[in-house]
Amino acid sequence: MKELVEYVAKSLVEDPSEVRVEVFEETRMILLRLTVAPDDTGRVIGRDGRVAQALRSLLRSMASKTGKRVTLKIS
Amino acid sequence: MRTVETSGADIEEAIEKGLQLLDVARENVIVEIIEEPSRGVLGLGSKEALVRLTTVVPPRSERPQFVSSVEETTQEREEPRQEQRRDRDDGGRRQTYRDGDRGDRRGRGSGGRNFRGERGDRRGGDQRGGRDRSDRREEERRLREELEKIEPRRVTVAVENEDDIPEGVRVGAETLSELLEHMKVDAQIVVERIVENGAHEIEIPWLLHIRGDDLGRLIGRSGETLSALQYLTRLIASRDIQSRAEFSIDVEDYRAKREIQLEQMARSKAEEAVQKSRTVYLAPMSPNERRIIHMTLRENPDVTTESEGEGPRRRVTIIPKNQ
Repeated sequence: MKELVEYVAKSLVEDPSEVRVEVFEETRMILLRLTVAPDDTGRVIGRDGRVAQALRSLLRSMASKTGKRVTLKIS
Repeated sequence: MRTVETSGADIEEAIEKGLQLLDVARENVIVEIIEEPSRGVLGLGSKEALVRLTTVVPPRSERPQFVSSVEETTQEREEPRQEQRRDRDDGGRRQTYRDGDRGDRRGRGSGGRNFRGERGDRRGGDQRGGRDRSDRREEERRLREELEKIEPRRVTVAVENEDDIPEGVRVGAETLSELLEHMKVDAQIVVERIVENGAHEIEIPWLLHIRGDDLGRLIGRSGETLSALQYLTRLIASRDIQSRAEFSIDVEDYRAKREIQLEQMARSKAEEAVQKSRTVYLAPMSPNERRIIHMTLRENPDVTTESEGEGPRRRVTIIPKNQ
């Protein structure tokens, strides 16, 4: 999941060197925190949050096997 | 407080519909204009007026029991607050349309459980609100089985020579391949060209076709995952080539089959609406799926269609003109 978020974020931002993804995994949930350069925040959120929503859909699909809930936070 | 969103040819019409649904007078609501109406080009992209009405006096239909039964399911939802609000709206709407008597408020005292039962009974099949998980799974399974039997009308040919593939499509295939790898999906991507689409126009001829076994999780509920995959692949590829990359993505002909299934569903639900002289609610769908329903019924003289609800809960309603 980390790789997926990293790949999508790095493909969309102006400054890929500032892309960081942290993963916090617990028994029932996985939290991913994506950090990008301040100017790039809009690019990984997308208009009306579409990029973030699409990423969440893919993460949910990946998590469906494990039965865990995935949360993606962008800062 | 209840909220509905309604659309109409102009703002007045949209407000009027909302007031009918809420069954309140104009002075009891706050009106927000979400979208001004606009005329599209060649009948495409025209937009109806969209308004949101919020009641200022809490109606009697606020039932704690019902709300708490909704909360149980919010865990798998992304927007629990919105979810709750939607459901209350549905309560109001359901009540207003019941027995075709919009002014009838009897029966509002029923508890949440009963409410749910009635709802399933009345709506049946794919039209329920999506609250009951086992019902929903059952319905999804039925739709998938039905889908298996549908023959896609589109005819495609695989294009193997790289020189024959536009740059955007080639970059798209590479992007998709990376995405699938990161998603740990083992599948093959075939670049295809759509050469025939029955009597339908071929909008985008290039197709990245994901082939493999057991790819259901790439499709998701009502194609949600597939839409997300297509959106991100196109976005990344377009950024790469610095112009719009035009292709669609399909998984084992899912989209092609689903389109036909939606058309069939639209026609049979329209028939049902006319026969029973009442509005039929379809299950929530993505914008593209809703568009297929609207387009299928556009020429139907007996019904009109509207979308209502917000975000993932947005769905099409089919309204008979003889109602």
